[in-house]
Amino acid sequence: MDRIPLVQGLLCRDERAWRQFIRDYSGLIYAVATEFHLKGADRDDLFQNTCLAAVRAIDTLRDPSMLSLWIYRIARNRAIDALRRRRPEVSLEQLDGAARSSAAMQENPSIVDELERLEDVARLRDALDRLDDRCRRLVRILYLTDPRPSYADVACREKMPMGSIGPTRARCLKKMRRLLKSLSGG
Amino acid sequence: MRTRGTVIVMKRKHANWEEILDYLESGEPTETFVSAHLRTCDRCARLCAEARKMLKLCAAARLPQPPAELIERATERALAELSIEREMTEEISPSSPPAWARAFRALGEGLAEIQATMVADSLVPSHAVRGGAPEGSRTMIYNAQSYSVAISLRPDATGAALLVGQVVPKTSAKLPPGGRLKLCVGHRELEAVLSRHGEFVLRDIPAGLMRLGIVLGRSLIRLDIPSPLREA
Ligand SMILES: [Zn+2]
Repeated sequence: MDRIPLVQGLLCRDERAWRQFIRDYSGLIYAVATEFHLKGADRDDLFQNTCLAAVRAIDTLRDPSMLSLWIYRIARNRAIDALRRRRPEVSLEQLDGAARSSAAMQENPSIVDELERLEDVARLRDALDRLDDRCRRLVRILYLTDPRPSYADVACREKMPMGSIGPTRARCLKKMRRLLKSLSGG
Repeated sequence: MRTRGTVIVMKRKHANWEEILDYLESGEPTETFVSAHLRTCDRCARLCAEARKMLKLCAAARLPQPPAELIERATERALAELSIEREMTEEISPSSPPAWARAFRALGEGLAEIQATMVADSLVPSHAVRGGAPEGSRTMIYNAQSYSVAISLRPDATGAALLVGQVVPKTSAKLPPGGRLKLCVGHRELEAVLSRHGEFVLRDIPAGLMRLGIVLGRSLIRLDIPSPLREA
């Protein structure tokens, strides 16, 4: 769905908008906790604290079309704070992506890679939200559904001629590639 | 003629975006035009690498959902925070002032009221108040004209909250003597006095939005303090 009405709802402190936001973005927030190797209560705390921090920080959201990236960064910062509390001897710079080669990260090099991947995922989701409805639906069905449906299934469900699914998806992915480039500032 | 024909055929020989996607998604190990062409054409190989990266990213975007029960709990806490925010911005009706407004009025006649604004909150990522905060605690800094007020909240052993704070003049001026304060939470009122250094402690604070009034000389500094320390 278009993110503008959702963001307007969030800014107006509308309960329904906040419910939807937490539901829609829960996978991304949870993934950050997982990538930081947080488990059990720590992981749940990070999830809840990120949602709370989002409520308190919603006025800092400058670009409604970058909602995924915004919440990803809040979750990442909360996770860094949680790690620092557990290991106060590690400096913030060591945990921040800026100092990739730091000792803390060398201990767990996969965190940096995984976080970069997640940041890309957040960007992809923002790009997806900028696509037109038809493309967004098709990309969601073909690439974000597990297991992936066959073209025949998609043709039935979306009432599309089977022969047009391949070319349409290529066109949609091409648009998304352009959007991703613009979101990455390149 | 033959040359011209060849040129046309050569031009068609680049793989297009759709063919590359088909090639990547077919998963067929057999030799095709695209697979053979990619070995000899840098341009198409680059396009293919980009397409592969994008398909990988799409696959990575299939993120598992957290348990529904956790989503529900987080939503409830977020909504509770929303209602605190709404309460903080509500207008005070002069005809029927809420209990806390009456409590503050009882602090003294003719006090100049200063509404403090929160400038930093450890719950929101910020460099100003990062670090050093014990587990479960929350640190906030408020601006009130010529004073700054630092507030630290933490849950005590009984599940209530302990509030430690300090009023600091922004200039080298001294704090006026005899500073005192009142905290209103729901219908509870707690009182304390400021130390020489502007420090104060309040114990056994129940959950809920806190309103703090600090009397300093002829001024009443008012702070609204959210408290999401624990489940309401
Ligand atoms: Zn080529």
